[in-house]
Amino acid sequence: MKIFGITVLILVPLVVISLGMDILLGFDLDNSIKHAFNPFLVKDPAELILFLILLVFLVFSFFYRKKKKGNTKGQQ
Amino acid sequence: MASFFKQKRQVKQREKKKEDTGQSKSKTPDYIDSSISANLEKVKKKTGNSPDIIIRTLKIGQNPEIKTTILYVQGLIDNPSVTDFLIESIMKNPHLSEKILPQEALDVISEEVVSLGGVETVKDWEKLFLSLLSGDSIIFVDGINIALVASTKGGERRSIQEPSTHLTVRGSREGFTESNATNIAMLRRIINSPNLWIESMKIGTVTKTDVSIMYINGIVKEGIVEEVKKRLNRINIDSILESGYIEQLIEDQVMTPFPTLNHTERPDMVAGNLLEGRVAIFVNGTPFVLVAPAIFVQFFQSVEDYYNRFDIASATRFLRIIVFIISIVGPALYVAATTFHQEMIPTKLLVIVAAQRETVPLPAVVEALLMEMTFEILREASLRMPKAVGSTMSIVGALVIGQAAVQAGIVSPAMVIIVSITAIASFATPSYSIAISARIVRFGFIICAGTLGFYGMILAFIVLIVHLCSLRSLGVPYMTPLAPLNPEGLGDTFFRRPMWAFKERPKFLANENNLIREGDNQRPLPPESRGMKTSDEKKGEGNES
Amino acid sequence: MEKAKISGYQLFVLIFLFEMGSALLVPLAGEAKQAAWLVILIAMIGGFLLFFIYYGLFQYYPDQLLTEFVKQILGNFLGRIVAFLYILYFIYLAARVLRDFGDTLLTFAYPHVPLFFANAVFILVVVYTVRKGIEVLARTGELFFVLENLLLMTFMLLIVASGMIHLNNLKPIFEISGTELMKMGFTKSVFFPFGEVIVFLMIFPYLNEPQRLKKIGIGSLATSGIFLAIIMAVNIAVLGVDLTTRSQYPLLTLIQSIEVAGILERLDVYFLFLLMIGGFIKISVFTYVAVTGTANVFNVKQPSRLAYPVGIVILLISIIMASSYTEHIHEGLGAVPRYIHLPFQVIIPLLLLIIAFFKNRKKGRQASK
Repeated sequence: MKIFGITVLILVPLVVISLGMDILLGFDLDNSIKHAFNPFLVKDPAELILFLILLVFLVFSFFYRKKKKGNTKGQQ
Repeated sequence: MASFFKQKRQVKQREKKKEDTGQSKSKTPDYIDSSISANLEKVKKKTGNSPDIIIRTLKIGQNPEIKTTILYVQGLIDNPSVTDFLIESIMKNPHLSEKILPQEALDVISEEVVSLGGVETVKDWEKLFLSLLSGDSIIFVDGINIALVASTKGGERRSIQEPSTHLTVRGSREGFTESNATNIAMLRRIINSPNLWIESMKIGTVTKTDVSIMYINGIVKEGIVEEVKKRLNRINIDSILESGYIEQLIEDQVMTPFPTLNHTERPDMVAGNLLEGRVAIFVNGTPFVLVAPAIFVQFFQSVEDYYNRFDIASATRFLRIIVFIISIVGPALYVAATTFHQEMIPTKLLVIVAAQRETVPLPAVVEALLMEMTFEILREASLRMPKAVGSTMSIVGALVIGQAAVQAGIVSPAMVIIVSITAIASFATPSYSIAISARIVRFGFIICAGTLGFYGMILAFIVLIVHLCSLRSLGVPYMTPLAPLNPEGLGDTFFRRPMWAFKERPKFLANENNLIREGDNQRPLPPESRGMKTSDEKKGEGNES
Repeated sequence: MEKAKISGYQLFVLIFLFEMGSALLVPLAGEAKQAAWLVILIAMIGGFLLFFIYYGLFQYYPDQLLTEFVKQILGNFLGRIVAFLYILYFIYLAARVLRDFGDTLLTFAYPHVPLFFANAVFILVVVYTVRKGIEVLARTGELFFVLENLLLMTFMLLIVASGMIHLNNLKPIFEISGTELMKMGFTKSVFFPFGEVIVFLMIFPYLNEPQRLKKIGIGSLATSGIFLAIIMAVNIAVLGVDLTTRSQYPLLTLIQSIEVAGILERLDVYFLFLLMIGGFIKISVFTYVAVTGTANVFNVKQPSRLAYPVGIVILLISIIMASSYTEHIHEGLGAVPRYIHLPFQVIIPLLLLIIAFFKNRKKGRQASK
C-alpha cells in the first residue's frame, strides 16, 4: 500500500507539471487537460489491452509484495 | 505465533531425519556384535537378503575351530583379488590352521594373510555397509566385535575411450569414464604436481554418490573452493545420478537459458581449466566433469585453440562467435527485413524474395516459426531414435522440408536456406549447452522481429545483453573479461594471443599472488645469422656465405 | 543505497553514453549555423563548470546520495521536499527522453505503431534492467560503449569513403559574433545534454575510487562533447547548414545519404541501433536514479519494488506531456530549459554548495577548537 501511495504522490505532481507546461505555452486549462488525456481516449483495441495488462500488473505488484511481506513476518 | 513454533519443530524433525538417513555422521553409531551369526543376520535383514551379497564362511584354527566369514558384493569386487589373495590365502595360511585365539586370528589375517593394498578395521555398521556396497570385502571373525575391510574394488567398467563431445583433430584421445577413480587418475597423469588437491564427499541420502572437488592449491583463488564446498554441503537430496544434478543445485541463477557451469568429457580441458584457477567437480557415474566458475566466452573456446597456432585459433574462434550470433538472429533478421524493412534489402534481391513469397499463404513470422519447429522436431527425433531409423528420418526430413513443402508453396525457398544455415550454425559451437541456449533464444528473437521488426529485435538484444551481464558464476560476472573489462583477459576471448604472450593467468579466476605462468622472452627467436643483415655478420651455421 | 561498487571506467562509460544518448540525434545548437560545433564545445566548458559544482557537493558528502545529503544540508523537512522535487525532475526527464525516443521511432520507421505501444515495450525493458541494479547497468554500458563506438567509427569511415564531406559548407565560421556564440553556449546547450550530468550525484557514491572522480568526470564530458562537436561538424559539412538545421534528425538524414559501392545504402537500422542504445542507457540511468531516490526519501526497504511503478509513471507522463511532437519540441526548447533545467541544474546545487560550505566551515572550526 505504501508503494501505491508513493506512486500516486509522484504521478499527481508530474501531471500537474506537464499541464503547467501546456499553460505556459498558451493553452487554457480546459484545452490542455483535453490534450493531455486525448491519447487515452482514442486507443485501438490492441493498445487498450496492453494498457490494461500493464495496469493489472501494477496492481498485482502492490498486492503480491504485500503478501510476501506478511509471510516473512510470520516466520520471524 | 502458533505457526512459528510448528515450523521450528518441523525443522528439528527434518534435522533428525537427516541424521537417521546418515547424511551427516550420527553421534551414536550402531556397533558390530561379537557373535558372527548375529552379524550375518543383521546384514541379511538390512539388505533384504539380496542374492548378490555373497557370504562365504570359512573355518580356521583348531580346537576349537573359529568361524570366519567373508562378505562381498558380486560384480562390484575384483574377482581374482578376492579368490586368490583373500579366500585362498586364509585357507592355506599355516598359522591359521594351528590353535589360535580369535583376537590373534584377526591380527594374523590383517597383518600376514591378506595380501591386498588396503586393510582397515571397522566397528560401526554404517561404515561397514558403505565399504561393502562400494566393492570392498568384509571379514568377520567369530567372537570379535571388529570387522576387517579389505579393499577389493573392481568389476566391469567401460574402458577409456575417445570422448563423444568436444571432438578435436589434434589433442589427446582420452575421454573420461564413469568411474571417479579412473577420472581422477587421468588428471593426475596430466598434472604431476603435489599441489593438485582433491577433496571427496558423499552426496545423496540414498545413492551416497562419490563427489570429488579438484583444484590446484596456490593457483585457485582463495574463497572459491570454500564456496564450492559450502554449496555442495548444502545439497540434501536423495540421489545424484549425473553431474547435471549438482549443476542445477549449485548454480547462481536459476531463471536463465544460459549455462553458468561448464562441463566436459576431456581431461586435457579440465587440466587447462584447473591451471587457470578453476575448480573441477567429479561425480561418480558420469563422464561429464563440471568446471566452475564458467564465463561466457569460455563456451566458445575449444581445447584445440591452444594446440593450433594463434592466428588460426583466433580466426576459428572469431568464426564461432559470428556463427553463434547468426544462429540466434538469422531467421529473425529475415522476418524483420521481409515484413517491416523491405527498403533495407537491395532491390534485385528483394524482387527475388518477393516473387518467392508470393505463393506463400503464411506471414513470414509464422513461416519462420513453423520451419524452426520442424527442424527442432527433426533434430530431437533423430537424436533419440535408434541409429538404424536415423537415416530414414533424415531422408524423410530432407524430402519433406527441402522439396515437398517448397513445391507445395507452403514455405519459400529463401526460408529453407535461412533455416538450414541457422541449423548448421547452431552445431558449430563447441559447447553443446550454449548451443541449446541459442536455440531457445532464437524463438524469442523471431517473435520480437515478427511483432516490431528491427525495433523488437534490438529490444530483445538489449534484454539479452542485460541478462547476460546480470549473470554470475560462483560470484564471477558471466561476461568477464568483456564487462567488467579486464584488459589482460581480453587476449583469450574473440582472439587468442600467441602462446609466448600468455604471461599471466586470468586475474578474475586465479590467485592474485600466483599469476605468472611463463617466463619473459618466450618468443621464439630464429638464429642470429638468418634473415637480412647489413654488416658485422658472424659466420653461422645457416649462413650461406 | 544499494550495496554495489562500480569502477572508474564503468562510470566513464555511463557518463559518455548518457551524454551521447539523445544529443546525438537532435540538431544541437542549430541556430548557431556553421559554428554549431563551436557552440557545443563552449557548452562543454559550461558543463565543466557545472560539474565542478556537483563535484564540490560530492566532496563534502562522498558517501551519500543526492537525496541523502540534501537532508544534511537543509534539515530533514526542507531537505526531504527538495529531494522529492529532484525525484520528480529525474522522472520528468526520463519521460521526456522516452517521448523523444518514441516519436523519433514512429516518424522515421513505424508510422502505424501507436506511441503508447512503442514506449510501453521500451519502458518494460528499462524496468527489467533497473531491477537488476547499478552494477548490471554499468556492465551493460561497457558492452554498449564498445558497440556504439564501433557504429560511429563505421559511419565515419563510410562517410569519408563515399566522399561526401565538403569542408566549404563549414565556412564562414564566424558569421555570428563571438559574444552571441558564448551566449548560446551558456544558455541552452549547456543544460542539454551537459547539465543533466547532475543525475550522477546519485551514482558517484558507488564509485570504488572516488579520488579519481574529477578526472573521470571531466574526461568523460570532454570526450562526449568532442564527439558531439565532430558529428555536428560532419553533419554540416555533408548536408550543409540549411538541411541540417531544418531536418528533425540530421544524423538520420546523413545516414540515409550514405551510399558506398552500390551495396551499402539505406542504413537506417544503424541509426535505430544508435538511437536505442543511447536512449536505453539514458532512460535507464534516470529511472534507476529515480527509483533509488524514491526509496531513499520514503524509506522503502527494497528499491526494486519501486521499479515497475516508477516505470509506469514515466510511461504515462511521456504520453501526457504533450499532444504532438511539435508541441513536445516546443516545450523542450522553450520552457523546459528556463523553468526546469535552470533551477535544478544550477540554482539549487549552487545554493546547496554555498550552504554546505558554510556549514562545514563551522564544523571544521569547532573541530579545530
